Amino acid sequence: MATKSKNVVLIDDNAIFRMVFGAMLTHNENLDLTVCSYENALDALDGLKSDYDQQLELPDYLFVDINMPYMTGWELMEKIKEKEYAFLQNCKIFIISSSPLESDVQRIQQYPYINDYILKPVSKEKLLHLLTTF
Amino acid sequence: MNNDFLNSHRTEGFLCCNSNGAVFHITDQARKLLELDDLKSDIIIQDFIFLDSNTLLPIPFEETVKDGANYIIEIPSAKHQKYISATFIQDDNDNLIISLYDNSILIRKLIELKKQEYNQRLLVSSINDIIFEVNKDGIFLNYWTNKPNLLIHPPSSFIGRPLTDILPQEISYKILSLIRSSIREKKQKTFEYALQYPKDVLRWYSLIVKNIPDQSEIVALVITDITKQKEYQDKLIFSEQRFYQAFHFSGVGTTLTSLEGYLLEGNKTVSQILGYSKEELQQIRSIDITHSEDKNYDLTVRKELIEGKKNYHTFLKRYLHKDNYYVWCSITISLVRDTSDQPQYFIVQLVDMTEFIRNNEELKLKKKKLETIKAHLESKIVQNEEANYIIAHNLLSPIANIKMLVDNIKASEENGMKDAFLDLLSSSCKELEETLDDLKDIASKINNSIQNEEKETCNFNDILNNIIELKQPLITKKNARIRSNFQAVDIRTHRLALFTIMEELIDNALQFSEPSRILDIQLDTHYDEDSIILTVKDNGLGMDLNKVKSQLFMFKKIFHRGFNTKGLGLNITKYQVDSLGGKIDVESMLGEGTTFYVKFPNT
Repeated sequence: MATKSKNVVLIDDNAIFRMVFGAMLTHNENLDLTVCSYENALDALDGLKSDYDQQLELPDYLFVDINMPYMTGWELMEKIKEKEYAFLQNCKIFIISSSPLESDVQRIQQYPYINDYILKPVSKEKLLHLLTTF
Repeated sequence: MNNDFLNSHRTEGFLCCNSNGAVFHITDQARKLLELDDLKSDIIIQDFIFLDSNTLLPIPFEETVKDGANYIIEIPSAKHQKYISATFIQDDNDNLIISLYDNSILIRKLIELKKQEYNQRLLVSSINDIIFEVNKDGIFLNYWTNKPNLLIHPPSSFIGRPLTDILPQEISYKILSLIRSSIREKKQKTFEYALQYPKDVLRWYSLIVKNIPDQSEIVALVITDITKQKEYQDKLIFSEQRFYQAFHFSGVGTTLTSLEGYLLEGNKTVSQILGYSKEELQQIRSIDITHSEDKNYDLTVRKELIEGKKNYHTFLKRYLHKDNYYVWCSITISLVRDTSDQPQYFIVQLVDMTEFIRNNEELKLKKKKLETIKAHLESKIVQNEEANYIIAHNLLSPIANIKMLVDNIKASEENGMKDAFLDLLSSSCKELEETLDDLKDIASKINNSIQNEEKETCNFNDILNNIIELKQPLITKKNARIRSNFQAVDIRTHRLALFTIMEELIDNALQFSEPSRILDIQLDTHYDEDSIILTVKDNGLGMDLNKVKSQLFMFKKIFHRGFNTKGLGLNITKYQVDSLGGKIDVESMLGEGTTFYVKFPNT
């Protein structure tokens, strides 16, 4: 099955999770995925904006943690509303967090460009399923 | 005496005129009487004013020319008006002979009498009484009244008859005896009686038996209808009784107090409220048993009432009870003036409000307690939410990692991968451990600073000096200036908690300084109602509070890049401020600096 390689971007301050996440997605047979990660939202905004400005390929999927220093995942979602970063609304965006709090889970309703709320821990199967169905 | 002499002294004058009134003969005396010039010849009767001899009203000329008529001619005069009597005699030739004589004296008297009569008529017509002339046997001889309708019986039915025939027996006998005693004693007697009329109408009369000078057989009875006065009097008696009852049996303490403040009259309720008897209160001025803090106001109110600035005033004041405790009273005070508007006395109404005030105070206290509990609960809710947040994000995150790593280890076939995951697993455990340590650290800092310590008087300056000493290396490194202005010098609180709060805020300012300018840190304190407010102001990096304020004081929140911080400091500070019953707030402008406000309860 010759499919185009998909770009996946993870924004999460937790180094261990970034590594596990990367390991789960890169070692699979069925999907051709490129995984890139940022340890905070500020760096992510800078990096993605620069990619966009250079007309490089943009991520197909954006996984965003909530609890991060300097800028939380929710603050990033607000940023995406701004014209400067609105291009990110074209990505399939997922919130990925360990928080089972209703206040967090329900908050995705405020952002039409968020596809789903993924609760950590997340299994390899679940992730692959997401990437094939969305 | 000859005829000439008599003629020359005659007072009567004559004149003759024809039927048209033209005079063709006149005697000297007549000329004199009519005050006519000797030379005047063409005299006409119509030139004179003829008056009716009874009414003295002018008479038209046509009527004057009559045989045998008798009139008065009025002669205008500067001194005394002259009145001439004129008698007309008609002869066979239709000529008139008019005999004249001076009648001024009598006519003037008549005029005078008529005036008097007129005045008396005026006087009498204003009297509403009926006057009867009655003899000593009680027989009606005559009556006068302006209003004949006041008479109960027609005059014909009582004139000449005894009053025993006219009035009910018990009344007529009484009147008769009064008439006799009045004649005997030559004294005026009075008597009031009521007569019953059909339709239940009762009318009251006053009767005065008056002696008539020089009369020993006859008296005058003056009868006046006094029904209206009686009704009014009854009403007055009734309202006085009602007032008496309202005054003495009222549940409201009521007093009449002299302008000097002495009791004139007071009811039982006043004595019950104040503990003093009426007699005792008459010896004490109200101001003497007024609470010292209420005296001025009380006096001001009374003064304003006297000055007419107010009609009445209601306020709360404390009276000293006889048993030496204060009674809260709501008092309404008004001033009574006499008909010439002079202040007479105060009416003071007292209601015992002690119970009400006590309940009110208790309610206030309870309300305050509830408010404290509410604030406490609210802070607990916030803490609870924070705890949940910490669990959700800070604790569950490494646990999620561990679970995922375990799953991945199970699924790994390669040993190299397995080892890598195992290393990550051990890092995750360490991460979890660190988070737990941070939480323990916070908990111990909060508990230690509050629980193991008594409140004491802490001097802001002393604490600041201690902190400066401790932080001297960093202060020197940052080249920072620390200044203070402690208007509130001391505060009673937990020393360690205050120390760590101040230390953290100074630390914060030292850490997030703006490298391009000399760091200035200003610490102030001031009183604000029941609180002391500590302000720590710096000119450092500052923050965009729109973005960070909601999370500023939360666990492990980091807002500035490139600083070695765990994001615990302000979180701990917030808990410590909370545990002291205070509040922390912040103002900041990105690039300009930050000011923290800490509100401590000042107890």
